[in-house]
Amino acid sequence: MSSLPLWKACSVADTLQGTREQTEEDTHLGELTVPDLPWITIVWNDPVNLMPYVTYVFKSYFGFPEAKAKRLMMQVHTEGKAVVASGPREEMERHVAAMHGYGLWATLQKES
Amino acid sequence: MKPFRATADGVTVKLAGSDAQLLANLATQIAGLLAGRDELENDPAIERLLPDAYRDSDEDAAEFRRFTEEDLADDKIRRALGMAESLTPERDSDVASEGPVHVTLDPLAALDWMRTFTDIRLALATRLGIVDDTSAIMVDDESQLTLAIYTWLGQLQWALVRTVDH
Repeated sequence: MSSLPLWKACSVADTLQGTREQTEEDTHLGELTVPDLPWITIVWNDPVNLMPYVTYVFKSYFGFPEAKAKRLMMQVHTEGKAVVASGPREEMERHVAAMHGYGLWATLQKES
Repeated sequence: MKPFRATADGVTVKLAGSDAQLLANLATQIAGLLAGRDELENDPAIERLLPDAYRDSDEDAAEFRRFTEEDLADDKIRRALGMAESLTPERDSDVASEGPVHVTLDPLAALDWMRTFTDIRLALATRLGIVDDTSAIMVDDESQLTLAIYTWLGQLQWALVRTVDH
């Protein structure tokens, strides 16, 4: 598939910068903090995408086992959406772009 | 006639000449639609093919689009044109052959086809007003052919996914 876009370099640099600032702040506070992963990728239901295709995309792109891929596909279908990944923002942006490449309707947001 | 068969190396495709022509035509149209997207404002098909990545922030959505849209659209165009090309075998121009078209797809090309099927169906669905699972598909006479094509493409895509993911 397509290679990592150039703009990732900026995002990663921003993140590193943010982490550094965070670390300095943490040091001042003298507390140990666990980095949180507040971003999620959501796939939304749409009337066009075929159920076996969505399952296949979840399996082949995310590497999910058949059972997990099917469960998430059914969740999208019956509940209107499913969280398919969580982690750093840059990683979620990559997943969303990939889902759009497959024709799935995906967005990312902060975990609420 | 089964249009797709799994082989050791991928998938073989066999389509009636007229079906292959129609599919190539639709794939070329999708590529053209995406290539000309700058001249189309608020086109629902384009919006569905290249959707917003953020729901809650127009600013973030625009920023994401600025960095990803061109690659995403170019990939879709390349895949659609690849499908069209493979369905248009070189023929002796003196012979108006209507015989079946045979194509061999390696696993990556099979996935490209699935994706192009999706893109064509997404575009047709917006034209047909298919917006959610419960919307009854009611179309006027003019759109009956589009609806038939949409249904046919869904069957083809379903068969291809089943052939690859057996």
